[in-house]
Amino acid sequence: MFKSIFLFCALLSLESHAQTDQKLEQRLGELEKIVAELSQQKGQVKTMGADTIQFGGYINATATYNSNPKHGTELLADEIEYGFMSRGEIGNDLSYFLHIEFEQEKKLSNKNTAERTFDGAEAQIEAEDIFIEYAYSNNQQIQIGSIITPFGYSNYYNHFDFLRWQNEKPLGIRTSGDNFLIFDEHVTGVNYKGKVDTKGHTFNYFAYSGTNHVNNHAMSTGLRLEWNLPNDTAKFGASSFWGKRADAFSRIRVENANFESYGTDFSWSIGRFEGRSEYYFSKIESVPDYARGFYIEPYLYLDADKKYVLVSRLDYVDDPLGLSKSFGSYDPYKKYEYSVGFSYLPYTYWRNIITMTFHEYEGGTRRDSKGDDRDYVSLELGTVISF
Amino acid sequence: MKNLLLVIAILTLESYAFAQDVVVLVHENNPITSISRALLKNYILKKETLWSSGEKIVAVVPSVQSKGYAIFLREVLAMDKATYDRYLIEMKFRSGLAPAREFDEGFIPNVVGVALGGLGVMNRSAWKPSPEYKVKEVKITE
Repeated sequence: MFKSIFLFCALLSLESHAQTDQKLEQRLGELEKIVAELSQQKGQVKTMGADTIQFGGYINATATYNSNPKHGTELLADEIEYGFMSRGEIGNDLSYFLHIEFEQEKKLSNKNTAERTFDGAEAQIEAEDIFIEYAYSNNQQIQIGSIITPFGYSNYYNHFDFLRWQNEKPLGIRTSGDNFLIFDEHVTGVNYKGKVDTKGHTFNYFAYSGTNHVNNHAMSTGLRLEWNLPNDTAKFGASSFWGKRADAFSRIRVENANFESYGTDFSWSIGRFEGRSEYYFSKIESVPDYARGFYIEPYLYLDADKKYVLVSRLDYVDDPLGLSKSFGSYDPYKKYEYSVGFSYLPYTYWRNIITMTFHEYEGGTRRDSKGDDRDYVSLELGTVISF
Repeated sequence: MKNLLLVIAILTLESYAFAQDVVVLVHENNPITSISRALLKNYILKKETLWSSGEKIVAVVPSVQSKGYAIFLREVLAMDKATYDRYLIEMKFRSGLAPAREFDEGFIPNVVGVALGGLGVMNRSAWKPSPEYKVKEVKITE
């Protein structure tokens, strides 16, 4: 009796195994067919040589309202840009990063006078990052190509609109026409970067040399050191940038002048209260005064999801070169900007901003060459999505 | 003295809870047997992208819909979702690196098992060890 039951159970078990095997084979066959079909599909994107290629980007639109004492008010959609990014992994240690910006912008002419007005739209394509990266190890990489200059906090970490709380960069970092005040935002050359971790603290370093993007007949070299406290609660940085400024510029007419720029920066994150601050200056051969600037930018997340942000910035620049021309002439100035604003991120990848900025020129530079008061108020609006 | 003992007890319990809630999986041929909490975070955040062998790290984490996502944020990254999302955007603009791939927790062992550099993090309660997966669990150290 027991023998019969045992035999019956064994047979059932074998049959069940056979059925399972059959089902698995059938399923495997179906999956192989799907894979074969997918590999032959039209419209499939394939890399030519890289292991992987990724794409991303952003769209940014801004509008600005200026209350001009002389010309009344002006409200314009002054900038629209599309950023395209791609990163490809060619091997475990070799990759590239491409970031190109397509931009249409209406710039302010005579911006430091009571007669400031928006120019016609100007289209441009800008190479933000185009570099090949070779990773010696996790802690050391070499980049060759066009890079964002690792000088200071704002230029390197908040270069793009999505990463800032304001449409405009701090005063000392903005380029004026074909020149820079303290350092060039981009260089094309070689950047060696690395890091050292110890007991939760991270020390980053950058050493680079290359051709400037503006004032672009000259080479510059730079160094940056950073100290990050554990859990990124604070970061301290020191930067330098030196070289020759090839072009004749400013009413002082400096040509092939040597320059040295230095900066120090600090950023913090204490709960919902975050911020950053920088001080920088540049010493230019045969220019008696230093170009210099500083800003402090505290901001507060109003909710736990970080959707609502109260932002502010106190910004100062002293431009003894007068790089931004007024009525066709070089025009030195000293200026404060006080901004307050509110940022709203309905989704993590969509940031909207409104800020009000008070522009106040200092001391002897308060009036333009026609004797008019340069001070004014502006309102900036911006929306940017990242994908 | 009492306070010191209390602190040690809390730290021990915290470490125990971390080890209990989270499983770290690597490819079965990966020689490592343990990973520090700090290094694990660096790998997931792509602050480091290579294993010591030179193999590229393929990090996979629970998808937002998974039960393990909240545990992953809390125990591995020690971040809230908004901070993690913001970090990913900053990483994208700085280097173009894509975030760790997100998968339903049921698939994480499969994905880790097909990539030599695979590194998976998942909720312990969702982990059903099986010889079918070509993965091994590694110990988390402080």
